[in-house]
Amino acid sequence: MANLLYADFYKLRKDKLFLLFLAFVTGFCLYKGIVTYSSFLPTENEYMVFPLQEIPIIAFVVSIVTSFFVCTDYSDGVIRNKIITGCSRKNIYLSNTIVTSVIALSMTLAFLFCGIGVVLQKKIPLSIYLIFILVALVTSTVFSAVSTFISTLTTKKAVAAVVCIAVSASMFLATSYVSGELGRPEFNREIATVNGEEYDGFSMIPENSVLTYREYPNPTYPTGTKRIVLEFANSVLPTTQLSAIANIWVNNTDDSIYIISQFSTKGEGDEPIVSPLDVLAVANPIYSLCFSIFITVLGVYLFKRKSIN
Amino acid sequence: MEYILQTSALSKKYKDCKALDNLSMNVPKGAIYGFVGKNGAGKTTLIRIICGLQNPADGTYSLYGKDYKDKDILKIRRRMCAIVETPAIYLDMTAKENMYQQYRILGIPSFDDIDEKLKLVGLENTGKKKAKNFSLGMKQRLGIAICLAGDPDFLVLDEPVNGLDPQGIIEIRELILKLNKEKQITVLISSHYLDELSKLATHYGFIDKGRIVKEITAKELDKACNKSLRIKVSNKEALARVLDELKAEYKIISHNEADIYGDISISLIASKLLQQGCEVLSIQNHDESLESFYINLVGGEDNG
Repeated sequence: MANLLYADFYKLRKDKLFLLFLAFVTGFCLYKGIVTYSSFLPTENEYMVFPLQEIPIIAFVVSIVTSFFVCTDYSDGVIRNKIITGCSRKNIYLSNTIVTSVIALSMTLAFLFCGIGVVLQKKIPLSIYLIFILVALVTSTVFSAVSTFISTLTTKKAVAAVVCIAVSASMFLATSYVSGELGRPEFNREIATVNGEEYDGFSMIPENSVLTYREYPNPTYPTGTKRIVLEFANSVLPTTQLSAIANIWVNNTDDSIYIISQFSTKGEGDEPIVSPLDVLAVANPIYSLCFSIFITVLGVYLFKRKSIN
Repeated sequence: MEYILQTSALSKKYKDCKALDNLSMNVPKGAIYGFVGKNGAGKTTLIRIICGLQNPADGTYSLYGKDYKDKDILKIRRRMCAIVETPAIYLDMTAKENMYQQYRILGIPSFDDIDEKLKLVGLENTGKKKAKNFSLGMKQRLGIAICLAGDPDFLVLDEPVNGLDPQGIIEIRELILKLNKEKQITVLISSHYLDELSKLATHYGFIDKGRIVKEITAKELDKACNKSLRIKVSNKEALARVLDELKAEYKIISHNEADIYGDISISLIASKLLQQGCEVLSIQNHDESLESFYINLVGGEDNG
């Protein structure tokens, strides 16, 4: 295993696509960090800053780099050398998973630079910002694990890259759908009376009227098994965590509020984050970790049975 | 006799097609085993199975006497290497970097003998040229050099001369002979180029429709084939007189050519022809008989 890691890390060091994307992501994050810093200069206009808004691109960058990295062994045939000379398939798969995790981690670490502005301007305490990055780091390994899984089974660079991107995009769509469903109110509200009189639902309401409301159950509110499934999906999908991190925002006129949107694993609306533990409550990386482990175990199982040409 | 590879009733099916059908074969230690069969006969499938790239549907095989399901088989595999169809090399790396990479995979701590191995295959002067810019023959030789990284004593080559030019074919042939003679490496080489195999192989296995139809040594094959020498002379009658005098088995095939069968001294024939005033224009091994043997064995019509 150590030998394979040694060889695979050497291969990564020579991987031009990885180095190119790493340079691009790092450069972009540095630029973003500096722009964010400038945006906090004194102004009376109130506006929001999303310091990690672009972090979802990690999913796509990792998909591309990982699929090309893993599939090179197939296109160049080197995977055969490894197997023929007695490397176990489990070790080959795990070595690939570890190295691709490093790809994901290094890309995500570059996003530390995005926080230059909000941290130096003391809009977010460093500890909380680091927790956000930590969650993003763990979450990014899910994308590398999924891409390793797909690439190992697909074996063709272009096909693997397209499938990996499509799967990542599907996960974001799923997160959006699930969040939307979970965000539906349990009760709908409608106007019951206007100035003490029953409201017919059509008439114009005069200004300064006194309104009363009545609530009735929302038929589209997910309940029972559907809700359990949606909540499970919301927790497990790595894109939920990434979307939550992408949606943290701070206000330039307020020194202490930073908020996470409805894309949280809690499936609730905007809530203030005041301590590092609050971050874990809305974007828990444990689910990502479990997802990574599950997909890796499944990958090893299938790779052991895979016929290689 | 000690065997490096033994297979017993190996079977493999791809959907409805039987790639291997109860295939049994034995590769003796020190041999150059020519694995002969037409395209689609099952050569590459067998090689993939013995290399651990695919699992057999049925049957078993052993390497160095260890069954493929033995827990130590991965250690045993370190003693073999293979080139299956195309050489397995990183195209974006140089020859040396490819060698370093294989040394790392095998956990060989010292890179000292990399130059020696590259020299052995004639790639010592490729410098910073990436493998993607190599000719097919160079890639093939680099593939062999990578194979030699772990000092294997069993080398499996699947169609190693496919697509090579005549010079490349000669280089690969000489390299294989050198490895077999100097390093005592057992070689299993699959090919449908009978001419080429006959210059190398000490043993043959003929495969057809996923079955081994015959295993035979090169000596036995020579006898069975009645291998011949084709001689071209200036005087057909003089040649016939000399061959009759030497009681040689022969066949006149044109006005100045004849095929001579069996072991016979070429210098003796030449000197006797000279005495008769007949000039020897050319003498060459005639290998058509191996092809005939193969065609007779597996059926001519199917094999065109």
